[in-house]
Amino acid sequence: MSRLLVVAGKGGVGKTTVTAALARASADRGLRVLVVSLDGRPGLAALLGGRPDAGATYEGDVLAAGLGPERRGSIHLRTLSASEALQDYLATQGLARLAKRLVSTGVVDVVASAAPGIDDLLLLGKIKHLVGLAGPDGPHDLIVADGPAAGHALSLFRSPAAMAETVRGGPIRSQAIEVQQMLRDPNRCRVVLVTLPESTPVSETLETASMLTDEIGTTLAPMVVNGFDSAPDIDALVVADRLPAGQLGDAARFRARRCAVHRRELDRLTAATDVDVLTLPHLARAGLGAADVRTLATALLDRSAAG
Amino acid sequence: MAARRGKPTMGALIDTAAVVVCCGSGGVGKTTTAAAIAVEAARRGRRVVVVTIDPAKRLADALGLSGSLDNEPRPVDGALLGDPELRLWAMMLDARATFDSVVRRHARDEAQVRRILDNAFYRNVASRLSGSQEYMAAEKLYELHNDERFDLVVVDTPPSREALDFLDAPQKLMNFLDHRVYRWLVAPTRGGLKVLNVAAQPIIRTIGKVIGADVLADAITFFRAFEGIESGFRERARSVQTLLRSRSTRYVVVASPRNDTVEEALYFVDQLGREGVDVGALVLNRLLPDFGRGSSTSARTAARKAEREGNTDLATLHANLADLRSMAEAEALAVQPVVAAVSVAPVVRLRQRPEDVHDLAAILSLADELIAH
Repeated sequence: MSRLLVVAGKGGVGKTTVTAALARASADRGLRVLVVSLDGRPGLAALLGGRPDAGATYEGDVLAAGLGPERRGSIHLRTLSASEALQDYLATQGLARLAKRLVSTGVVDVVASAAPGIDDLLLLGKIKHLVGLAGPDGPHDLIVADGPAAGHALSLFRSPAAMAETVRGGPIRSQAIEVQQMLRDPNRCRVVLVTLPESTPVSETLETASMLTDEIGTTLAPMVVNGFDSAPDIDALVVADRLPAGQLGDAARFRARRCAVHRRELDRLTAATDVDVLTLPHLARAGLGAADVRTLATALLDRSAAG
Repeated sequence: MAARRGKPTMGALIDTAAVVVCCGSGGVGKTTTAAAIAVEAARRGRRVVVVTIDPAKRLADALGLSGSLDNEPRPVDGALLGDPELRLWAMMLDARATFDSVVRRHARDEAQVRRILDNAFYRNVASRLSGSQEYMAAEKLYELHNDERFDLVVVDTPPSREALDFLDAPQKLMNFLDHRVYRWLVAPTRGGLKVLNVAAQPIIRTIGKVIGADVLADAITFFRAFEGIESGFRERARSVQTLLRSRSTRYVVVASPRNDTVEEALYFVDQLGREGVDVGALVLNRLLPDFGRGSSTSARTAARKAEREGNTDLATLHANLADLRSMAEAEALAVQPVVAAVSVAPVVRLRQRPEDVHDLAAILSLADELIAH
């Protein structure tokens, strides 16, 4: 099983909901799950069943324990930041005391500016360290990263290559190369792309997918199409042209048009990618039901995350 | 508020603002909202330029921006919008080109321009320095604001986690220029010391250990090349900051009716409030249309009744209406917290289209909805 799943997608596609559902479902199967938030987005803790401010720190909080078979499953949420990752990193380089000083004087900000991309690399370096610890004997079985929104995900994944190119030697270069190796290793890392069945999101997802696989060499987990609507009985009425005037007819035409767009975009996505595409239904309520969460977990954990 | 008279409405905001900043998380339709605001303002007789950051390709095509690489506003053909007299321009921000022109503006001579633009570190900084895209958007906004051709600048902000990334970008640049390390890097040349001495300072040596000596050397060269123009930079950053916080700059928060994007919109509103910036308007994008008055429950009851009477078609139609209404009710519930949070600002509701908005006709109809209140 891949030890790290990075959930990525544009804002508003339900990425955080998918992250939470995946974490919850994995814990319910007895896995000890670490959820890492890269930007401290609000809402994730609440979706995982914790207080809104839980997990906001670098060390994080345990939000659930004793779940699943043998009551082994748990959820731990923590928020990683580049400056803390830098301190950790400098400590491993034997520069712990200096690290404190660098951070307290704000020199870190200048370092980050002096070597653009270093903060992204530091975050990935920290995740690589956590992935290295994960496993049956480690503190966690699975790490789910709630990736940064939109274009940030690509620049995040590009940072190691960019750093390896800019920095011609030294510890940062070796860190960059090691992180790159992790991003390319399907046993350690896969990316779950989340999107909506609409034309712009699908086009952008396909672009992101090809950049991740071709340019970075990352393996994709199944993609998740969120909010997929389908109403075959309404389609049938519209096709048969048996619609009354007024709101009932308007509502039916609106629904049928929307479902047709969703179907068309899902087909376009499926045709253009090699990985499985899962759909989550469009729901009247704003969250996912238990059955949706189970479907998602089965697909992501069994079908593809198994390495 | 002083610039506004009477009841705050989107129309009044469009009539009186000098700058409109559309902010919100990615994927909520900021770019289309910015385009609709610009179109509406132009229809009201204003001379408008809309700055987009990263428009979807078809939207860029619709605005006539495809292949637009010169980082300058291009006129939008008013005839396509039904009025050849409209004075509307659109441009796509090129952060790097904007940074280059800032350097050109402040540099003493061509040699200094070349020293900076050719520096490897600068090439990295210009495109990747955190906040540089935000700062350059603000910088371009300031430039257009002072351009005689326009009396309203509408800007789409880079997709960001933080509203403050944009608002604070000038301050960040100033902090960077004021930073001790920056001073250490630049100061020795004033004292007649050599680069070697800079590199010998313990803290600089440590940074070199971390980022690599060659990157550091590039950085030192860059800062030295920069010497003498940072005061121009700083002054400009201060003017940009003043404009961003002026009362004629209005912030429009854009959200879509999902719990997660509403969370983010709330966070934006909160951040703006902490900075003492009022929300000019809240745009709720992609809401389901209304299908008559009535609740999902009443439609559900009608569906059951039709079912009992053996009218399957009618039952299906009522059930569909009930589904759409429950979705709309869930949306109304989801947006409630952010609507409450902006209390006095006008709230504009834009309806979902079956297709993405990517042509001028759709932008026109959004513009109609924008002020239909």
